[in-house]
Amino acid sequence: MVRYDDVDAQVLSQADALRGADEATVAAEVDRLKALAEQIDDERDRRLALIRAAKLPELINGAPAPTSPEFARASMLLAQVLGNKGSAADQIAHAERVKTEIAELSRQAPPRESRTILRLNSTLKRLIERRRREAADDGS
Amino acid sequence: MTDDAVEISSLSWEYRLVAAVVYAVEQRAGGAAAGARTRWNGRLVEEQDPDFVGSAEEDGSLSVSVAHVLEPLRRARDLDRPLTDDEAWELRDAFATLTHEAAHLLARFGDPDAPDAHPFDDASEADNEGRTEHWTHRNLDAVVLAVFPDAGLEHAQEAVLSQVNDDAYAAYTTAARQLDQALAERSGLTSAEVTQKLMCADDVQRWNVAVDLVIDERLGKPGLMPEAHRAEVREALIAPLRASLADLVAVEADESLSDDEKSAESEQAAQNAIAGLDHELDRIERRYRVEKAQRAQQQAGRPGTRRTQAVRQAQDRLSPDLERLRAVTSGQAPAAGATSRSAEAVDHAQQGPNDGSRGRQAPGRASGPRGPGVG
Repeated sequence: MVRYDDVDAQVLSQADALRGADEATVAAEVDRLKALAEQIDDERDRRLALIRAAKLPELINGAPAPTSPEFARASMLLAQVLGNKGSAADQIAHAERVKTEIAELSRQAPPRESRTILRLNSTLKRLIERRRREAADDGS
Repeated sequence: MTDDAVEISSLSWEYRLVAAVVYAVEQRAGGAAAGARTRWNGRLVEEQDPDFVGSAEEDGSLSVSVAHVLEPLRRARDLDRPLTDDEAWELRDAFATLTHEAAHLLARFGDPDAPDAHPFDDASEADNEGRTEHWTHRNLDAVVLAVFPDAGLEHAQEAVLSQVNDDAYAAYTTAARQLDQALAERSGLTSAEVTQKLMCADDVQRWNVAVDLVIDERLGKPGLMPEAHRAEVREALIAPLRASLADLVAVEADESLSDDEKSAESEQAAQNAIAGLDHELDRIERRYRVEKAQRAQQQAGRPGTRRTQAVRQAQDRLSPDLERLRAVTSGQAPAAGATSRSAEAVDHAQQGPNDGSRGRQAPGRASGPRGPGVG
């Protein structure tokens, strides 16, 4: 008896195994996984497994990157903060400035990219907290 | 985290939902049996800064934006109609944020003062964000299916699973995936196993955990590398990985490069990292294999040494007439005798504990008994 988890496990293993494979090979594998999903008795699980099987190409190639200029700029600004080799205070100040700029870019971006851009600020928040702790540890 | 953080009640629907996400992330990463336990301290707080959607906090708390994350979830729960495409996408995006941040909690920071700790720098950050986003992308559907039914969101499952959300860390995700795949191919693990091990590794130990996978397989299992060398070998293998990932951040930060150029450079950075790892690994493995062969030869030479001593003892017992006869027939007997003694002298010296020439002298010893003066 085939279960949703069986299909999911095969989707994930094939997502690794088929990296670099041509489109025809991937399409054939999607067909095979869908045929496997069709064997699931439970109707709801079958529908979910069919959706999962169809995601194989995306799991092989990776999720799409946002394409807006706002995202490109936000990603660049984040990298500039990460690469800042200054003192903790300098990097924290840089991160604070950039997180405001990234938030502004997220407001200007297309709706579906807005929150993806804002998610970059989570990296900055963790960086700011870590650098503050490191600065405090150094001072103690 | 600020002292004025607003804590979300553990009795609330939102709290139970987030707790279920954290549990699902742990289970998907292998569960407690595999050491996949988050450092979540059980606190869920409202993110007060509108510039943040949510974050795994230093103290183990989770902060979440009410407007960006919790409200879309609440709205979806209360809908009495199918979700629109935009609503389903928004719901998936909110769930991706929760899952990504919960996945960060799988790792502890570790002791930065430990002798083998690595600073958590730009290369580490790129590697960590890329891997966490990759893991989230692979496992988000599973987390949705584990959490939605009990949260009253079962009606939204199909719509949310049908959506594809963007990769916020696309440049770093590609590199982390390629690196994990390369480590898998060189360690005998699957790529997913490598990813999960590195997700759960302490931040300041992650590079060590990564290269230990290949060290154990290529140098440890065949008995090539003395354990005392591990720290030095780690450093040699980690250096090209960190350098390439730091280059990747520099490329991303470069305002003069186009998106296409950055994408190409991103691929190249990952390939450079793996090529650098291979170069160092091959060099180190070759050195150990040569040393092993030399030791084996040396071992093979030892019985020969005993034979040499036995022959010398026999020579000492030769009658004077036979000694004279041997000198005449061999022509250069004195020189041969001198060579033999010289080998013996080195042989004794080789037994010293710190003699670096030990292995290289073994062939000389082995040839001793076949010297012309003895035949």
